[in-house]
Amino acid sequence: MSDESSEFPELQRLLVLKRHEQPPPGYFDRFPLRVMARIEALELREEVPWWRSFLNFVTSPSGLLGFNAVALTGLGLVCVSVFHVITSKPDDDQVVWVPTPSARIPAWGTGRWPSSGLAASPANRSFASTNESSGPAGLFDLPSLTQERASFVVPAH
Amino acid sequence: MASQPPLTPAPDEVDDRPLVERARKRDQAAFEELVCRHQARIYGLCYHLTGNHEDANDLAQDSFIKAWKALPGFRGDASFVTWIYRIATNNCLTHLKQRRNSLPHISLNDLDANAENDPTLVELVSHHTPRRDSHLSELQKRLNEAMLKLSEEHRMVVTMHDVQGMSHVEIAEVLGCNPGTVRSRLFYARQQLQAWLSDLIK
Repeated sequence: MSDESSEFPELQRLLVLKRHEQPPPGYFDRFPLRVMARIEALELREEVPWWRSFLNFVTSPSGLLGFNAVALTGLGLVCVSVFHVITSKPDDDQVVWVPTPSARIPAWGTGRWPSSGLAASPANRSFASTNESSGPAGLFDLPSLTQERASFVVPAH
Repeated sequence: MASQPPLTPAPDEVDDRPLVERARKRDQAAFEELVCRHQARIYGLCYHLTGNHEDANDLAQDSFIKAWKALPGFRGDASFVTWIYRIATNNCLTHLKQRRNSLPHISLNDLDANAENDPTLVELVSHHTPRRDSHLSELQKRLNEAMLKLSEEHRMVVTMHDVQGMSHVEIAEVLGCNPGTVRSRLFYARQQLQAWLSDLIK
């Protein structure tokens, strides 16, 4: 090794400088403590099963707060969703067409346009349209038009 | 240079075996004693390889933690210091390879108070400037930049041999190669450094 060093004497002297580079004062006093703290944490983590860690987290003051907040938020969302489903009704403006098996097509010229009668028929809730232009919705449910006289208007020919 | 780790381990420091035996049985106090004994060398290795105090701190801690985990499987074929050097070396190599594509972040430690009085450095600096303090810092910066330009393998042998004072055989044991390879790497690395720092070392 000395034979090799003699080939680079100036470089060797310069490299001595590297030996004087030292970490901050007291660094090596704290280093073993840090290593051992990490090792102890590691050992604890390996010994404790996951459910125990979870339980510890949940029961810790900060964990409890966070867990309760998440749980309450979730519960609130579920309650609101259930309430909304229970209390919501079909919108009257929405057309819901459920054809019945007894439906048949009226002949032209009979003067009976079932959709106009259906609009005022509370008994027939399978059609719920107040829009006259949506005539085809009631074309196939003539037998159930029990109250057509109440609102029927004969078109003038 | 009181805090500098010794270049060659003293005989009483070599015999880590009783402590290692206790540490293998998960005796944390024994392992802490081993950390105290070898921390400066392992930190120094990581620091000189990375040129960065923060990375060196993390890598040195990780090396000891890996050693603690692997200690039950340590058979004692090599000495503890060689074994922990291997762990630290592999740790540093992995770290450096991951960061190969990014610019090296240099965060140098301060020079200790003895640097200004080191006769070797005094002579070296006096050739260049009477302002010793500032020139030492400049030398330090240039030297570290040149070190970081070396490949990891070459930087490793320069660090272990020229900075930490390990023998070729010890380095070969750590790196798992033969001493001839260490010599040739060392020669090439010094040639490179000399070329890059020619204006500083005449």
